[in-house]
Amino acid sequence: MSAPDERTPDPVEAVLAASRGDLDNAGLRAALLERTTGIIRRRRRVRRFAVAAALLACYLAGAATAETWWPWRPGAPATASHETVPGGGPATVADRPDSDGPPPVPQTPALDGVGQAVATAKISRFEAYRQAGDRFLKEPAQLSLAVRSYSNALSVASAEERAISPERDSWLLMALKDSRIKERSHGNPDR
Amino acid sequence: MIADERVRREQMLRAAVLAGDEGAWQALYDETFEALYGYVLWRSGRRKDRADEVVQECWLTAVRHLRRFDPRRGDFLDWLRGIAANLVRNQLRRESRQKSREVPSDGGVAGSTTDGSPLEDRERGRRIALTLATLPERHEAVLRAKYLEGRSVTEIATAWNQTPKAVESLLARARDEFRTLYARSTAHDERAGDAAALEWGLPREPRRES
Repeated sequence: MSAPDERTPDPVEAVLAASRGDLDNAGLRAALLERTTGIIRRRRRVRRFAVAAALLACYLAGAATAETWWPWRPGAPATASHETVPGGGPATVADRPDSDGPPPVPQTPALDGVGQAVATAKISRFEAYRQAGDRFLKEPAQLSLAVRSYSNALSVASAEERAISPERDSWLLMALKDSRIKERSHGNPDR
Repeated sequence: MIADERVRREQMLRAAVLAGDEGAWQALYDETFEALYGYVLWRSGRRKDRADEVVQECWLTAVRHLRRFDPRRGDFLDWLRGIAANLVRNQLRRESRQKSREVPSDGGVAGSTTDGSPLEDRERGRRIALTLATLPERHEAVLRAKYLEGRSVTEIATAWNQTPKAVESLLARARDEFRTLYARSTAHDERAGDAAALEWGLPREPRRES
């Protein structure tokens, strides 16, 4: 710092030199920290609330979508989509027409055709599942779906339909029927 | 390298505060409070009541607009100083308008002010604040470095990447300008009142807040 002229003391020096002793601001400092921290805290709460609200909105939107478009909901408006059925052309999938049918099963392309087949051809559910199983059985690498279709068929079959019919049943369906019969007889030792 | 570290650190703290971290805010606050307060007090012509008001407003503005702070453009304290400088200028404008409307019943001579300081000191402080608000940014900065921060010419030259001679010269010009403006503000006050003095000064204000 250049020394001010002694005859004419530099007023700038006198006016601008900071006085170190007048920084008595502890009260202000604490109060301001509290106030500004409060703003940050409030902002954080608002952000968390917004995130929670957004998540809730997403959940509600999902629930509403499921409620509107869930295909097996009793009384839901019929929705149709075109799926490819193995061994056949595109099949229209309709909602399950009533609620007294078999329990809902996960949809697969060929199984989707079951509801349609039941609705249009007036065949029994057993028959529709059986036909789907037959189609799967003819397809390569679809054995598990065939088993599933036949299982569904057997779960809705009448006593007559559960009987083994070598003329109509495929080897797999006959094997499953036989297995069910054995299961029943083992479950009921009196028979 | 040091600047990079500073930027990274302040970016991290800024992000943490924006995410609601009170600890990060306290770190920034503790690091800069005293320096900011000293600066505001200096800019306010050592009028403590005014300085308190500006500091308070400055911190509230900072916490609400922290998103605007960009560490790459300058450090946090510089950003706060920019806000504070604008607030001081606004305060001077308000004060000047208020004074121009007032008709002192005692002919403008009073014994003391509301904060207990003699009116003469208060007026002097106001003129210093007014003069500092009128100085070009570069001149204000060199006077601040010299008189507020107490740095030597060599230190300022090193920090600013300039020669000591250049800084010495800048300091001399800044002092001269301060002296001239300060004297002129006094003369204006005596001849035409405070409002005129403010009108004389404010058009040349530097704008510092980004």
